[in-house]
Amino acid sequence: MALGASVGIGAAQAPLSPPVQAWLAVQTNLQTWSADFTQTRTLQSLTEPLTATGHVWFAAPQRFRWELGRPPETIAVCSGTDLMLIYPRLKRVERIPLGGNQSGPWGEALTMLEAGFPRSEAALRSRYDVQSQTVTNQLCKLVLVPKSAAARRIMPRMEIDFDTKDYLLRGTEIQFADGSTLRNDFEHIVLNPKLDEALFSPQIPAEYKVVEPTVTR
Amino acid sequence: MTRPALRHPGRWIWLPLLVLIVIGLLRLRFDAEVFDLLPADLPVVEGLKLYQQHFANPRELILTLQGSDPDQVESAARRIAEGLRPFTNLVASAVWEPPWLEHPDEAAELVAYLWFNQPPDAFKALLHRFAAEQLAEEFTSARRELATALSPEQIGRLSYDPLGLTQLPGSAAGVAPSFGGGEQLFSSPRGAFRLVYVRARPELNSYRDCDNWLGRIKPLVRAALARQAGQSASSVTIGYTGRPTFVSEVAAGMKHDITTSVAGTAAVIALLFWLAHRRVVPMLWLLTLLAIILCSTLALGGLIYGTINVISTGFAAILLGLAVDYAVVHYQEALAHPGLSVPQIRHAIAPSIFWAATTTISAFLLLHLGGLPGLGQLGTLVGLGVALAACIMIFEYLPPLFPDRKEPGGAEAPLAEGARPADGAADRNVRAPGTRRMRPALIFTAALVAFSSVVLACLGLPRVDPTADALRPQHSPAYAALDQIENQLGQARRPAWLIVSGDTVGAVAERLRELQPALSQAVSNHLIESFTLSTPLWPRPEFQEANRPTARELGNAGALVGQVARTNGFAPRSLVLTERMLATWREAGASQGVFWPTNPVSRWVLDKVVARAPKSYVTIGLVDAGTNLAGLSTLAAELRPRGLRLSGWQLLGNAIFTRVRANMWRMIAPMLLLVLLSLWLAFRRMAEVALGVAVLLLSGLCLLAVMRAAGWAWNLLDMMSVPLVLGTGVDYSLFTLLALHRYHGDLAVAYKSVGRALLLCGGTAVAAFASLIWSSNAGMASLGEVCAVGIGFNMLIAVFLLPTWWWKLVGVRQYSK
Repeated sequence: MALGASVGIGAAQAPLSPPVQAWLAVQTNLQTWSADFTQTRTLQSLTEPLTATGHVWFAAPQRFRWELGRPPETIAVCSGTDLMLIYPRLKRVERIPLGGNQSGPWGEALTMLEAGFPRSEAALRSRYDVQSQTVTNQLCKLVLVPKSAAARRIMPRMEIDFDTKDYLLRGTEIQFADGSTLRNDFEHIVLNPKLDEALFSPQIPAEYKVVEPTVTR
Repeated sequence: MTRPALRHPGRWIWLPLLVLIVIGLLRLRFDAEVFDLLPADLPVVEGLKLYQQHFANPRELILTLQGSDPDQVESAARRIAEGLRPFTNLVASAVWEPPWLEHPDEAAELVAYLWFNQPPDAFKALLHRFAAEQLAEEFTSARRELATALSPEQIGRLSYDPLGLTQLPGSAAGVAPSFGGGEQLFSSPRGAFRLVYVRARPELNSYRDCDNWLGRIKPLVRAALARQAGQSASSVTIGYTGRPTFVSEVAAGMKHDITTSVAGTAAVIALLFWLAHRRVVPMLWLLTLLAIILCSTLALGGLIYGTINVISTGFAAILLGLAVDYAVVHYQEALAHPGLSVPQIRHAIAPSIFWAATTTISAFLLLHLGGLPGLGQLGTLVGLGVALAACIMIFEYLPPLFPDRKEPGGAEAPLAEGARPADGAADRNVRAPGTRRMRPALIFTAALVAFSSVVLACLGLPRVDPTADALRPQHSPAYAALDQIENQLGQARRPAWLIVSGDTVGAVAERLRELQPALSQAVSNHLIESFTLSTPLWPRPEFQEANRPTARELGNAGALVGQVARTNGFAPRSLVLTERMLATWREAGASQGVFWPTNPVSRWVLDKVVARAPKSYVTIGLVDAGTNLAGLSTLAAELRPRGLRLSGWQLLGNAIFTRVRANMWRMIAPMLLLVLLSLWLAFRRMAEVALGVAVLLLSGLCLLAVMRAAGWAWNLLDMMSVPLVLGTGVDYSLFTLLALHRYHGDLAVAYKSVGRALLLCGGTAVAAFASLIWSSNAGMASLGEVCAVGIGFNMLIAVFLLPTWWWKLVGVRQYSK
């Protein structure tokens, strides 16, 4: 049963609810962050959801490292200027330069991976329209719609769940154009841990093949 | 003594002409195609025509959308496409994004076709992938990757192509429609600029068809945008380009040229005539005859050519400016000799008109030697018109104006006031003109030479523009939109087209196979930078034949694939693409002969590079040589003996310019000969010949200086002004020198009797050529301005400076007391 308040829904420019404002205020103090996660992919092409576990590290403003699978099958590392997708099993690395207009769908993918850490209301609203903000059982669900049509083509909607007591990120959910969803549920969250710089500039083994996929919008 | 007379042979002489004019009018059509202006025998033009015929869809309109907000632009593009599609009587298709993104399932046919074209070993390897055990492994692997993939494209591909069938082997990999790919064909990287391709339902053969169709499409586009008004669609700017727009624009330009420039020239003629004579009836009768001459010439052009091209419409203003001279000379003579009858005036003037017309007609007919058929047609029209004008003005202009002077009179009456020589001029010798009178002319001569020399010495000669830009319309929104596409979509480096044709599909495939090493060699030799052939898209009949049994076997694998997919947790919708590919293979396996894909996505792709006729097959490749035009030309020459045509706009300009430059002497040499001959026949003395040439040289020097100072360039069309300026310009020197002799060196009388008439005639000619500056065609505008300046200098120098030069060189010895 819903115990919490259900706050205004709908208008894109509606004011942010107090819990969301408080959560954003907490974000400004966040320098680093790490957590374990369980990723659930509910794909329209599959009859059953797929789950995988992994670990994520984040350093403000936009560096991150996601390791998916144990041992990692896919590693996504963003140094701020480059996004590297490392496939250890395939010994393959895809390097995508970020910035400008070159990143194409990868740029949109990147926003998905970092969307859980907006630094301010302005930063949030510059990329997303707020579709709804609801609080249920101390969990606030903030539903966002990307402003960019290119991003909407890939990801028409995303959801950020955070705890209204400690304002920690509990989960994110991305909805794809065909209705498929990708949900991350976080646990063992550590705020402002000391992170090794090497996490964001991984050494690529010599036997790995590094490619730069053709980047188009 | 009775003066000889030239009687009118009777109005019946116009009857045969009238019949020809009626037939000509019935045949007359206007041709708005720029390609028809080009020399058809140039290989690069042949290539362009083949490209135009087979690959430039004559019914395709391209809309450009530009805005500041990519979302608004995308939304506007979608709305326009969706707004146009319901009008199926007007629109066959409206595409705003890669068709395979809008209908991903339809891409299956093309991918299956590309597999079917693979070498038999590669295609047969698919059977292994479709074996029961292997299928299970494939689905398991896909499912595992789906759990950990991070790339949106990879997730999309694995979701709807779990067997990886869209990943083709070898060179075919690059041409298969990809998930999320192809946007760069429709959108700038930021998305603030987009294209919508609209294909007309009806045939758009004539410019009227294009005009009417565009007239119905544009309101629909505006309406579609208006529906988006709430989303600030007004900030999206729409441009139109593509053949329907070009043809419509060129046709409108032709209408503009033939009306505006003619009206402008006629107004200038009327004004100058009024200023010179201040009489209404002769002016109106002159304008009437000019209109008749213009229409008749157009009709005779129709009789000879059938269609009149975009450049030739410029003939009208030129003809007006030249034809008026013959009437003016007659009228001036009739006023100067009130005692002479019309037949007597006719007899006196007709020979000089004959010779003046002969040089003018020759100059314009020489345009045929220039190498541009479009300009040759203009030359013929002006030549025809000048001949017609000479006849009409000789026989028809004066009689209605002087009804009482129809019969030949007696002895010559005295000259009218104003045209009479000064006292003493009737004598053999006249008083030498004073220094005060001659000094300004000499100073002005020196100043002109000095100024022109300094300009040319400091700035150099006018630059040469070897591109084909002169053939383009000026101020063309359609070309502006095309340039915008090139800039926004990163197509600034226009590749050349390599046209490969053959009688059979196999012959073309074989040629493509042979071309690969030849073009690779050209890259190694730095003749070109890169190339793209349509080889992966072109059918390989021998492979298809060998692949048929495999295709049939694969086509029957549907049930097994479905069963294994379900077992491994894949939903039916994940197999739509796979099932369609299997169906295509089933169809290909049962087919006979060459198998072509046929659905809209396949056609959209293949139509870009494949053209088929019953016994002719054509495809194109792209060759990028960067700025190395010489390398491209060398490669074109190497490929030509093999029947392969390398063509493109950058090659076109260079090829035509080379042709025109090579032909220049073929035009100029006869013209120079004609100029020298006419000067010699008129005077039979080197001094006058030298003076005539000096006028041409000085006016040429001044023209070059003006061109350089104004930043004008020699281009494909205005290079043709050289023979025109020579042919028409020499007349002013001839008339001036003849008058000086006739009036025994009396400069004042010569100016009064001939100089003013020359100013009037020259003024109309300059006005006629100058009116071309407003021509819709860039080349004609430049031709008009160069001719106007050249002829203007010829006239002014002949009227104001030549008499003084002549006096110093000839008159002082021959006529001075």
